[in-house]
Amino acid sequence: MKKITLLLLMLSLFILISCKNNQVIEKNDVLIIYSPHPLEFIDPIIGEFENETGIIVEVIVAGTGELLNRIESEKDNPICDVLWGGSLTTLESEKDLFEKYYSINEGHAIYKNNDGYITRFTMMPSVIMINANLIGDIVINGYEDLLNEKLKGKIAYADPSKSSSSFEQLLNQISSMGKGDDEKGWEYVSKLIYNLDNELLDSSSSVYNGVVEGKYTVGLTFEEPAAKFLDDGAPIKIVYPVEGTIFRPDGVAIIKGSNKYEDATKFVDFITSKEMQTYISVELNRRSVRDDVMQAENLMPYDDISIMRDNQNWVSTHKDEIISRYKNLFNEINK
Amino acid sequence: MSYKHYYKDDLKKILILYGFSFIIIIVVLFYSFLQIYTKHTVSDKNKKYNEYTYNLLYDEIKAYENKIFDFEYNDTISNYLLTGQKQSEVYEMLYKFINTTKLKSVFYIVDINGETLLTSNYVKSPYNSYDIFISGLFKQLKNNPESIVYMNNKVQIDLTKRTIYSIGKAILINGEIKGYIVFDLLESDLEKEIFNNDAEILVVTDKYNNTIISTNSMFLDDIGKFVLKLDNNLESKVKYMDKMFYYNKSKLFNGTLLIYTLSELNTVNQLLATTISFAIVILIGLFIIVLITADYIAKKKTKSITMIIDSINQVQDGNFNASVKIDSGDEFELIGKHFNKMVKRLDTLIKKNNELIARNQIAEIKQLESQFNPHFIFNALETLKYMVSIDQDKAIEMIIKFANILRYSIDYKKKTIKLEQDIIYLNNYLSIQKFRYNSRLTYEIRIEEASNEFIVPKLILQPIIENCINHSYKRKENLHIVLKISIINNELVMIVEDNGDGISKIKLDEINKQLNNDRIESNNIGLLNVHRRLKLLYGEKYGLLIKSEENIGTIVTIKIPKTGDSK
Repeated sequence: MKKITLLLLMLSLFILISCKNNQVIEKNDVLIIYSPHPLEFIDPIIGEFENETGIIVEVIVAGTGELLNRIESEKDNPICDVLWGGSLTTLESEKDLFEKYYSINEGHAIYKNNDGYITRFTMMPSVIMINANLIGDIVINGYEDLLNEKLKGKIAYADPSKSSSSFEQLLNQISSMGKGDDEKGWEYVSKLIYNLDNELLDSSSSVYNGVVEGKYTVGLTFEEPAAKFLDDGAPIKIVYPVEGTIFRPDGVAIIKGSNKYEDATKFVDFITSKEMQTYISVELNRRSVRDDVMQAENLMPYDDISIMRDNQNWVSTHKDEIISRYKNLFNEINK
Repeated sequence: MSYKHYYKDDLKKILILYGFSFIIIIVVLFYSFLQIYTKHTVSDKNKKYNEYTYNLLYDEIKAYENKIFDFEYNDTISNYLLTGQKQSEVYEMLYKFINTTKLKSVFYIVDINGETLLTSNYVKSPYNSYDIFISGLFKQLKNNPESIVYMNNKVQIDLTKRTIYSIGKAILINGEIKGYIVFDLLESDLEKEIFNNDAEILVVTDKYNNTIISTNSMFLDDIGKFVLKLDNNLESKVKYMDKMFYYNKSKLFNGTLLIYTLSELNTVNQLLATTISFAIVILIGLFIIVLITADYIAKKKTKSITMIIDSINQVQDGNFNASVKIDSGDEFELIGKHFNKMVKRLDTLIKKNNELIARNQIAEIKQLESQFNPHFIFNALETLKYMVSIDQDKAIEMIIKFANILRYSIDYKKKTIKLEQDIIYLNNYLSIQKFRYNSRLTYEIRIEEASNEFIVPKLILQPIIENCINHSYKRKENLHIVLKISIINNELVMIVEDNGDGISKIKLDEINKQLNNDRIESNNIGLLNVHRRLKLLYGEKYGLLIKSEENIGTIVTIKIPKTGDSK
């Protein structure tokens, strides 16, 4: 009896061993980057970086809000090495998750990394994106025109708590429509929420893809994807709101506690280098943060845009407040 | 002692039988499970995949079909084709429709001059010149204005986008073609929907075997035709490139579309074969293990029994010192203990018994020896009475002889004696009888010289001769007795012959019956005594052999084996 038990035991052990998973993922040699950028944007840059440095990169793509939540929850045992993307205001509010680093290209930056936490990467002004096939005879020049009854339910907008570009849109709306009076700005926001017809999308990509696919006539998004579609020949139009556009940079940050700090700094230096910034500007439709990079041809020149500034520091420190006010407003209107 | 079979072998057989049955049941179950599993994985999955694709294509194409009719009779679209107004509303309707479909498409509305009026495609429309009516889709649309045209129509839109199948119709207003509406299905969306991470291969073709989409190009020829010539079976097997495939085939819209799902069987069969050979190896291994363990267990479990049987055999052979030593800790240990106790008691009992028998024998022999017939003594004394008055010398001689016989007969020290000596006393006895019967009794004694040294029981012949005399003068005057003694085959053979009255057949049978009976209650007490003594001394094999015929005589034969010295 004992022998039989022993035999069975050995047999099951043998089966267990043979079933053992042989896949052991080698995480140690990979630089892990979290990014909210569109895949079409990420792909060529990461490819170039890998070829240049020999560092293997793994990218995890999601909305800025979700990525920041993940980094926060992984604080004690960081998985991510670099957060690449997200508007400055969003990143500023979570500064304590980042490691200080001054890029070697800081000298040429128009927008400076003042406290060392966030290196400015590109400019991402908020724009209104229009499906030219669907807009018909409706004229849109700015935010005011979005309150048109005919557009009700046809405006694509993402949840500002999930997408940093959406948050920038919100700030832009408040500033440009309030003209110094935030309450007036919120008044506009509530009218716009009414015209959204109870629909908030989950990510910025569903905003611009939704417009191109004809699901929505108008989308509130940022410049780069809209410009890319325009470049591809998609039937869209980009409108820089006449009420004013805030030019806010997005950023790149090294995560505190990353054990690939060396590689992470290489990445930050790489994407802010003149070559890469030029490539991004010329090929990928983003405005560079460098003073020595030529302006992209198919982006509207600064002179033709009504540029506006806001109190960036105040906004960064009051992000949660602004988002919860928006949520409450949205819920109230769509009760 | 031999058995038909041994318990050990039975036990072994049972163990092997159970072990083998168990293993075979397991293997059969395993194999059936494998078969069912394989059937499930291959045919069921294949069928499901086919059904899934069928339903998907049916639902989607039906939706396009219905919508095309809707659009044809839609006022906004008619109005747009006639006047060019409200383009954005037409766009909205079309966008709205394709955004509800699973298989997305690129839509085109083309006017009668072949110019694309509106499309969701944002690169240059492929349908943008009058030449489109020369051949292909638009020729069909123009020639069949009443019906919906389905067509395998591959158009590369840009680097990543391709449309593969067109569904379109001419738009008739008041019976006249005013434009065309076409939906080109996107390859990427269809691929996404039919993607299957299992091994099944899907091929969708039109009725001319032109492939619309496939998940594997191994069945396509250079111009994209499906190469397998499958018969009309909707489900069967086919061999292609040395591999067996299981397939399901379904027809959509009366054969406008054909859906094939194929599953490669070689891998599965190989897997099955490998698993089975593995199972067989295990089976053989288990059989060997069972054989060895069965033998081992059977031996171990029957060790006690073997020991007990050995001891029983020894005891049977007379060795009462045999004992078993079992410390198996089970019932056999108890049996062993009891067996030992039993053997010991049996030993004591048999020893006692033997002693008792020996004592009884001695006592009996003594008693038998001492049974001198009182008639003889009486007769002898009667003869002597007359003899004293007639011939005193002879009387004295007779008295001496008589006394010698008596002394000899009551000499208890010796039970056996040399034949030579015994014959002297027999002669004494005969001469006493001769005194009595005178010339009526004659006798002769013929003894082989070598017999003289033979050891015989005391006075063994006397009762037989006495018997001759006592039973011979009823019908005859004279009696002649012959005693022949010789050695045959190392045995002393003594034959007493007389010519007396003989014994009737009935009487002889009775005597023989009595001889075979151990009890001594008979008239022929003398003969029986001799018989009994011979048996007690030399064993059952020995005794008297009596042959007789009435009025002719009697022959009594005694055989005595050669023994040691006289006692």
